[in-house]
Amino acid sequence: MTEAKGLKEVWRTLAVLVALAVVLPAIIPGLLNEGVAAKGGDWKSVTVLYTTDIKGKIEPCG
Amino acid sequence: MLDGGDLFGRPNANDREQTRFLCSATGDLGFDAIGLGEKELNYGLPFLMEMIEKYDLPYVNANVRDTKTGELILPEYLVVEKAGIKFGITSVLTQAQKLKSMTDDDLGLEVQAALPVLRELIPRMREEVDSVVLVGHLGEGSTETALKDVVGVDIAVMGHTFRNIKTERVVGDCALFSSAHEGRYIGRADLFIDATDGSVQAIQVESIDLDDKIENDPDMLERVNGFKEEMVAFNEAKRSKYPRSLGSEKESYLGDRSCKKCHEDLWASYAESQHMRAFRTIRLKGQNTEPECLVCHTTGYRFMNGYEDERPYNDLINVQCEACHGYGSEHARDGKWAAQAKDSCVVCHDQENSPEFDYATYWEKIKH
Repeated sequence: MTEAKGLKEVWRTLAVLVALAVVLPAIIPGLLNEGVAAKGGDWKSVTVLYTTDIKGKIEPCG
Repeated sequence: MLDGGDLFGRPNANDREQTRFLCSATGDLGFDAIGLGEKELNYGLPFLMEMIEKYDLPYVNANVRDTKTGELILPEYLVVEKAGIKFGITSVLTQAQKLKSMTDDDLGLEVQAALPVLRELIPRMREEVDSVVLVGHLGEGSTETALKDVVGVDIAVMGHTFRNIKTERVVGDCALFSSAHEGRYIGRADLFIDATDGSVQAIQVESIDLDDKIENDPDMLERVNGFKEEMVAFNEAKRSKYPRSLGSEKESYLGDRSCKKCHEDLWASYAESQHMRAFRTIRLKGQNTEPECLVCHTTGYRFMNGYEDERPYNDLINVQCEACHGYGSEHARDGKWAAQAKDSCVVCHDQENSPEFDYATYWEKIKH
């Protein structure tokens, strides 16, 4: 009985973590947006994509 | 979009064609800047310039100069405006690599030390732009050293790496993004940048594995498949210049280990010579599938039952005994030399490949 109760706690914790994993990526940029705005300045959102050392490959081997 | 350099392939004809295709695709992807890597010179400076012009590739570099004129070979930095921010993007190349091409060991180019160049350049860039980006083709350790030494770089992407490195970090006031290696990965950094001073806050950085989970772009897939078909034809045309038409189907190359059984002292002399290292020299240069190289760096490439450059491969790499003396099967049958070995030298040691060849001098190197 004690073991079953312990397992229930584990599942509950896992459920919370899964929910956070889904929700946090959505809300953190918003929070940070507010955070940087609070610092003052003229903050702009920019995405940098980058590659290096492609070495002539057009697709990986295998 | 940024690329840290070494976009080009190895110094051989196959990779050159693949690089040509890659440049056309890269041009269409719309990169904002590409740092110069040493591999970009693998096919010579004229080839690089042809690719830049033909495919509108935004190459940039601040420390490689023409030795004669002292001029930079590429734009010192590029200015790109995104989201109302003026970015200045520059690149420097490591001095650790000698610049050479597949045909020329001296390209007449000088690589200046990166740190003095950056110390002088970055303040000048800051007068013109809001944010300074360094696409440094310096490798892991030297990129960090440069960022600790040089003030004023806001964002840096590291090139000249030999593995995928996922750890982004802050060095001084600079956000340093590590490599996304060999086209297997693409790095993505979502940032907030202060337009007033260029300072950076990263909210998320990830290295995305470009595996089967990422759906192929249908148009690009069609181009890649078309290119592969072209390469098959290209390779067949190259191979057809060296038909396996000499010798006899009835004869066989036995391999140097068979020769050793009766001629251990002669084999020992061969084992010390450059002839036994001939294949290694082309393998190190990535030329070990090039027919024009295989002719003289293997045994019997143009002869029936000679070196096989397709499956099933055989052991006839290097310039073995039979490359000069002919089929071992003939010799084993009657004990005579199958060929006058002396005459065979000039087949490979010709004016183009061995202009200083002199029989007496070269004989001393392989005397047996």
